[in-house]
Amino acid sequence: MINLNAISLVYQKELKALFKSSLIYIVASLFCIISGWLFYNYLISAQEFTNRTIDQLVIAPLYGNINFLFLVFSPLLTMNSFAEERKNHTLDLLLTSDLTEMDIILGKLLGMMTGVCFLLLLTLIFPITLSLSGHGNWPVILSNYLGIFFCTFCYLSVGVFASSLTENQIVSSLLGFSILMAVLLMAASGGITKNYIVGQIFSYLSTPFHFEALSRGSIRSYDFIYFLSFSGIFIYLTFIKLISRKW
Amino acid sequence: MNQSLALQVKNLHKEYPGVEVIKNISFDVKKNNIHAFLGPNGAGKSTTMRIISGLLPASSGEIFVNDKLIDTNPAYCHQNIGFLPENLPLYQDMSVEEYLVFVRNIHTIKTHDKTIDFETIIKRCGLDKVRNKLIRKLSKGYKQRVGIAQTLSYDADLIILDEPLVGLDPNAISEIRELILDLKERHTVLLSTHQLHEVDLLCDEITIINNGKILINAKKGELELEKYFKENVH
Repeated sequence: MINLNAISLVYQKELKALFKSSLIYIVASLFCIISGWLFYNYLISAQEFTNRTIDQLVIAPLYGNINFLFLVFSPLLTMNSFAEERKNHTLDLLLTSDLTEMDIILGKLLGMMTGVCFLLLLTLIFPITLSLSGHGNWPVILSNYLGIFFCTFCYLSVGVFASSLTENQIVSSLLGFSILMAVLLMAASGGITKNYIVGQIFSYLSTPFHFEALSRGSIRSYDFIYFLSFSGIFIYLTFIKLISRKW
Repeated sequence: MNQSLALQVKNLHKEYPGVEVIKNISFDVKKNNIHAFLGPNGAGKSTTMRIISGLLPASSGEIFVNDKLIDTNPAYCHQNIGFLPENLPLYQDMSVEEYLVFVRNIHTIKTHDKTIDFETIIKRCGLDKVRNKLIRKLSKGYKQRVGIAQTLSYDADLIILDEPLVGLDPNAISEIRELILDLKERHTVLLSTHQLHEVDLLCDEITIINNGKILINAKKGELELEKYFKENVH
């Protein structure tokens, strides 16, 4: 059973640890530099095309790339989550307390998600700049943020699962990144196959397929079902890994 | 039912595929005693302690803490067993006080018991001067005290200490010894150590395990430990 009070204890601990560590600030700096540079470039190149909208020329590619940046940075954010607890033997402390395995996993994930929201807040400068110059299409922008939020939740679930498998943070981040790349490549595989149904299945299983609709401002219920199922599977796998000590 | 026993281990058996680690061991620990659990490396001490603390499941057998079966009362055991493994489970980036509050909170989610007197625990464990320091900056001796203090932070009845004296200098050993002796007033301690002279100074009763089997249960003074070890433990 899920206990909100228990989740909140783990969440607060994770949040403090995240913002006390230098990692989040290094990731935030890199993230700001890369996304700022992308925004500037898309804005400059948009001047050359007069027959397309700002949504197509700046917003869609910018948020598509921000989504990809989160795919790269998520394993870095989650590599500590269980790997370090194992290394420092603090996982035993958590597991001999009133916390359940699910409380620990959800508390950690929510802590990481708050870190991601902090990074996303830094990108608000882009739509605000566009809005001030009369090009702000807020429904599409909000739909992009929603897409990034749910995609990143999926990426973090994969990262937390990878971290639960090993004590080594580097192995954890590489493993997380490999799983995410495999999911990403499913979209490409969907395009290669000649079988339409197989192609559709591959596309459906990849996160970019679902993000792409949201990036256009199209909100479809089955995209959210996908995101929740995807993260649910990896949360469940992490749970299985944690309770496997009892087998 | 025996009201005077803090811990009863009955026919405890643990095996991994192809390996028997614990072979039907049984022993009791009396309330307000310091009970030594001794044996060579690989004898099964840490595994037994991890099973008692609920970290590992037993293959068979029963464990009672204050007459409550741990399998059917996990919440009771979380609140009444304080386990301090050999590798201290400390969050290095927390201050001592922050850590103790966190440990207290995660052990009292179900009881909501926040009445534990932290000041007394901090003073009792000699942590007054370092209460606001980050754990990473503490010496090994102080870290050990923080480890013991965390078991007191939720007022565990049974405190399990796995090699609490390893790697400490003589002064720190003497301080931790005093602290463990002080615990006896209100708690029961199950202690594992390789330092046999410390057993004489600290413990009331002794259980020796070797190759997963109990060799002997004895009271303090009934055994010449070093001689017994030389003759029977291989």
